[in-house]
Amino acid sequence: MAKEILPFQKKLSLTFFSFIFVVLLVYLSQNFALNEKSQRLLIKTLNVPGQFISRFLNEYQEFENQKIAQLEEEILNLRNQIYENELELKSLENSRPYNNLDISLRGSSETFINSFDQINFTCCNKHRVYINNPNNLENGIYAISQGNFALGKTKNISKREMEVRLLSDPEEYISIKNTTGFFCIAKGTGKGRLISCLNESKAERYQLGDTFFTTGFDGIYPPDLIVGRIVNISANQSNIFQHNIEIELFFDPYQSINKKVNIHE
Amino acid sequence: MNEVIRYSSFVCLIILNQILLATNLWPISPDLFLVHTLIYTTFVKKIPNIYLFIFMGFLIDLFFSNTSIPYTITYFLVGLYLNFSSLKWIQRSLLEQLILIISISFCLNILLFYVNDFSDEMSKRIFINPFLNSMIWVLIFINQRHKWLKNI
Repeated sequence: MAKEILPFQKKLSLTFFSFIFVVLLVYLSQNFALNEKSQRLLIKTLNVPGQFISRFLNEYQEFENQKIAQLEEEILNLRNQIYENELELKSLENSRPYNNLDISLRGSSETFINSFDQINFTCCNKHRVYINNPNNLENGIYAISQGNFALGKTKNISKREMEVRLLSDPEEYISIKNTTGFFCIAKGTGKGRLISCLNESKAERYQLGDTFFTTGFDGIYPPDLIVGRIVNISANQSNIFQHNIEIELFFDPYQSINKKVNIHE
Repeated sequence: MNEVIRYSSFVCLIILNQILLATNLWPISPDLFLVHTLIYTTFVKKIPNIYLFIFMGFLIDLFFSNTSIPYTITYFLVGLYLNFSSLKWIQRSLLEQLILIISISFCLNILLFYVNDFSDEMSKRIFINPFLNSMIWVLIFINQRHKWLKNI
């Protein structure tokens, strides 16, 4: 369709009148402050749905946060469950017919690990975890285990919490045995989860992978708690009859926070 | 384009532009009203008279400018051009169209920034906006040119 072409005179008059129209509108808007009024009206009009949307979004966010918190709690519970099941599995793997693991847990009370001193663990050979003091126990030395696994013994006790020195701490000693009747006093190495003991007799009644249990001779740890497994046997250079046995503990302090432990009173 | 759709889309654009301003996206977005006018001009059979253009510009200024000058003047010029031009807008070459879009967008933004006290951060719109408007027109042109060739 062809475009209609306006004559010059009409163009001129149209331009003139439209210019007048522009001037009139600008004058009106200035005179009656129309811009300000209409902008205020627009903001006010949009404020209602804006508030509604922001409230809706806030509520939705709150709902999502609640859901996330719930899921996180569920994940934590499941992790704890997995951890406990793994412990049980390890305990069953390492149990022997003569071990009565139920007896070793008798007379113990349950509590939770509330913190682990990771800095001192990695830098300064101080292997400590802190547990709650549920029964307001007073000063004394108590053996601590996680399920059937020996963990360490209490050092300092306050009303609210107990400092537990782990078996891997260099100042910690424990009397242990394996299933073939080899006994030794193991000492913490301060390196990771390792403890070591020396065998000065020529008889070798142990091998890599052997599991060690508490003997109960020290009077602190109940007998038959699972301690760890041999990971290295090395000969001493100055004394060829002496063996250094490295035992890796089953208890992992890095996974210990908020996990259940037993206090053997 | 149906009249109802035209006016309701105009209201929607006012709301959308206000959202862009509130979310600080306005400097990096094309000028919705100019793009709307371009589309409207392209699809409508008869170009409306200058007074309607001026009135639309005035309405936009009422909501988005401190004084009713930038859009009113721009729409006045657009209306004059579209009404007085011997050729239809879509009959012009793409280059010609782009030059016109860029120059009118540039004029509009200069006026907007002269009349309003926008922050310095907003000033990048003066250069970004003509480019964005022309890009949108290129997209429309590429998409619609076959139909236009049939109708011309």
